[in-house]
Amino acid sequence: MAFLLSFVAGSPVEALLPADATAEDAERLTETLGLDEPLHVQYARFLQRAVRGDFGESIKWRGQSAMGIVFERLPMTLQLALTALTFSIVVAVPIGVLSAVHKDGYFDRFGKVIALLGQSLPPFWLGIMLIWFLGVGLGWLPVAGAGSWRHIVMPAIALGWYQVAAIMRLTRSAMLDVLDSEYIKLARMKGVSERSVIWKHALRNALIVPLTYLGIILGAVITRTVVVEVVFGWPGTGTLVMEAVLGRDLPVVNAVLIIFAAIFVVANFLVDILYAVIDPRIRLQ
Amino acid sequence: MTHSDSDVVLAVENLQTHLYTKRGLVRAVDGVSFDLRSGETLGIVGESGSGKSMTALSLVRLIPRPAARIVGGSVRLDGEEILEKSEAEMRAIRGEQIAMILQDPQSSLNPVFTVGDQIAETFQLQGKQPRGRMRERAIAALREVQVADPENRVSNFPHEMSGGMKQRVVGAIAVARRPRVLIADEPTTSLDVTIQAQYLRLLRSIQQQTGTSIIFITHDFGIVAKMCDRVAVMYAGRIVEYGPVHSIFATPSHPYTQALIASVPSPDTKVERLESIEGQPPVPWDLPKGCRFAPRCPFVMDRCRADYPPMFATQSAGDGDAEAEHAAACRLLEGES
Amino acid sequence: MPSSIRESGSSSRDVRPRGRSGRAPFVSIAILFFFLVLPSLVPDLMAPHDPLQGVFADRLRPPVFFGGTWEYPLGTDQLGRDILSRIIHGASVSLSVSLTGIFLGGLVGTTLGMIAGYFGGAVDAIIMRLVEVTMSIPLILLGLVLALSLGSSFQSIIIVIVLVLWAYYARQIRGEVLTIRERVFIDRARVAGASHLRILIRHIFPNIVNTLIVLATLQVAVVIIMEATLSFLGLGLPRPFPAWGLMVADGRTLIVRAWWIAFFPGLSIMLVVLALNVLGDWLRDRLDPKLRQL
Repeated sequence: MAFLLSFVAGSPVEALLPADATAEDAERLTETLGLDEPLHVQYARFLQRAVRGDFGESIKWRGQSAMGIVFERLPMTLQLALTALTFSIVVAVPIGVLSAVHKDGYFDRFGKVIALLGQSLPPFWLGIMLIWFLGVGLGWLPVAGAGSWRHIVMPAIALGWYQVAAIMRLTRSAMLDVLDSEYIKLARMKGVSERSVIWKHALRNALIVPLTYLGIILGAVITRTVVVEVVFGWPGTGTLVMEAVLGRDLPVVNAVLIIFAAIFVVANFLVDILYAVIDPRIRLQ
Repeated sequence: MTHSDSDVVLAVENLQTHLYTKRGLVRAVDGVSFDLRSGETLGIVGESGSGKSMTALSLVRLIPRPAARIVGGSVRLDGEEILEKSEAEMRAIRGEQIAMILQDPQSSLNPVFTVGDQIAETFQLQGKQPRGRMRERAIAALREVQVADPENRVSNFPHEMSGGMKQRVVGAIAVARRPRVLIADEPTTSLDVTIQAQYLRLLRSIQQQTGTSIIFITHDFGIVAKMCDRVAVMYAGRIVEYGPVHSIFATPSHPYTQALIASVPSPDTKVERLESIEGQPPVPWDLPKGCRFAPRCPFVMDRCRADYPPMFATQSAGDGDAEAEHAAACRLLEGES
Repeated sequence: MPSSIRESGSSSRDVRPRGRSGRAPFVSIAILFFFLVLPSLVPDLMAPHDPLQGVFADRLRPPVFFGGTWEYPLGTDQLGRDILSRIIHGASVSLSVSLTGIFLGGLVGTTLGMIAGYFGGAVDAIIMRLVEVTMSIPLILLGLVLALSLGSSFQSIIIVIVLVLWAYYARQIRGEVLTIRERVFIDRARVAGASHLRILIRHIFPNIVNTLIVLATLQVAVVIIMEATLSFLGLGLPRPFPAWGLMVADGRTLIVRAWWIAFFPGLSIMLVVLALNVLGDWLRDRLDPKLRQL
């Protein structure tokens, strides 16, 4: 990770300058950023500061620390990502479960169509289409910005829809395996109702697989918030990083990168804890 | 084989369960009839694929759907027809009236719930009860199946227990609500020999305490000798011979039964010679027209191949004594009776 | 012997799970051919207008059936350019970017995956560590920075795609090589004195080709969406090049006045990706059922 970050940290000065900058400008910038020193010195200093979470002052927003700006925007992004994931799970898990229960039936086929459509919709396009239909056409929801629960509905759907397909498929195949098991037979033998067999005995076991997947895709979901935030003008780190990239504000971009990577690590840790809650076999290890 | 005796708990008559496979129709259970009496243990013996497990699942209507369907016959529990019950009525019967112990203890318990919760759930089905009371009853149920230290074991997860102990828990769940009928489908096949013996002893002592009737499904005539009062031998979806255990062992009348008993290793002889039966069981989707054992039978006659032989009473059958009734579906007995 | 030959033939036909993988998805193949391959090969033959040069007087014309004419079947954008022609020319962007990206990403990933799986030990540990790191970093963001420093160009998109893709190939291929390595014929080849390179190319590679084909087909869909997303953010090919993602971005602010500008390019992405997913699923079931979890 440090290796890749140093690559970013060592990005050419030209990237930070407007296209019409003179050689003099470049020199001055190089000096102020300390880029005239040997690479390993730069790298060491960068690492030192990165560990402390200090990426220096923002270039675009003078006088503010890069990290500070990022932390200001972070809650909005987390709110969006978590709402979207909740939407994915709430939609995908029941469809996956019912597809498994009614394997090869009409519902299963309906589920397959949903899955294929979900995987094939580019989130940014879905977002624009939602704005067009629900926002402009029907006038149900605000088309951009944040502030109330009604603002988050469309961005959350646009961001969450893409994962529905995969979570649904994984839930379905895991449920098929579990429903075939002896302990499900025993539960039915006890006289447990079919609803309890499916939603309590089977689902709790089947959830482990999509949960693993959740850990894997979290990085991708966080990354995808960028494009969805841009579409809906959601004031999170995504719009921030786009502004920073276009404004050539490298410290802010670096800070966002580090934060996103940290979110990924923390999220995986949380998924591990969640495993232990769901599957007691893991608690021992 | 119908009795009007009041001590008949479960009367099965001409039960037929069909499996619809890609290869074609399989008559997995093809006209099985037997009575189960109060407090007795009936063994159903046969090779794998003989239809014994499918028979057991048919009795509680838990056959794999939609691949399998019960197409005919009658199963009466205390005189009431089970095959006509609604699914909700069936749920009330399962566990309460008829319980079942499945083959594999390793996978019979749900890995994500404590054994206490899984035992308590059976009580919960009788009506909501306070948590503490449930725990007490679960501990009592564990004590009943002689699990050591039940107060702590009750909060164990299945993976924290040995195979033998798990099978005891499965037993505890099965007898928890004092069912009238307990179906044990090869409950000891995956256990090692000493634990197997312990478990069989346990089942018998529970039976003595509770007076439950047991249907014991196995492929092992050795276990039948230890456990059962009466035996039904199944071959290719049909019962080929039934009778009291002592009578069957003394005078096995169907060539298939004879071969099965001959293949039981005797504890007296050091060198065991398994007298295996020649040939393979018939392909289930392409059964012979007449007696299904005919292709493998050393005594096969022409008329065996013509049609399926009916049940003939054997010589050892007592006169009109239901307890001693012993019959086999074999033409060899035709002249004798 | 003819009778026994016939017999064995019929039994092997019985063993194959018939109807499992179903018929070839002809509709998908047709969509891919007419919406992706053909427009990429001969865009000038198919496109009725110049994709870059608009007619100012004809700007923001609606599609036919929505008040427009057959002159511009899918309408025109704010510069009077024909949407249909731009979509046709845009197909080659999607196709060339995804094919190049997948080929290079697959090449890097497969090579590293084979090395990791075959040699094991420290090499394996280092490569797998890199895979983990790659998968844990929001690489699209890294790509943004890269696109910025190198300027948005074909090369920078490809580099981003390769950086993202290689890890998936490496992880999958390594797993397969690990199992293949244990098979007897590899030992025999080694005893026979074959070099490592020869074993890797002659003995191991043929065994992972099916996996590679399935992986690549499913990845084309992912990469097309990735490229469209980068284009949408303005980090793909520079304007006025008609990339589909860029066209959606152009139409975004005009969605109320001229919905067709954003609608049709997005629909093209969806149709092509949908067809690729259907085709990929079918190939996976046919060639490599063990990949079903992918």
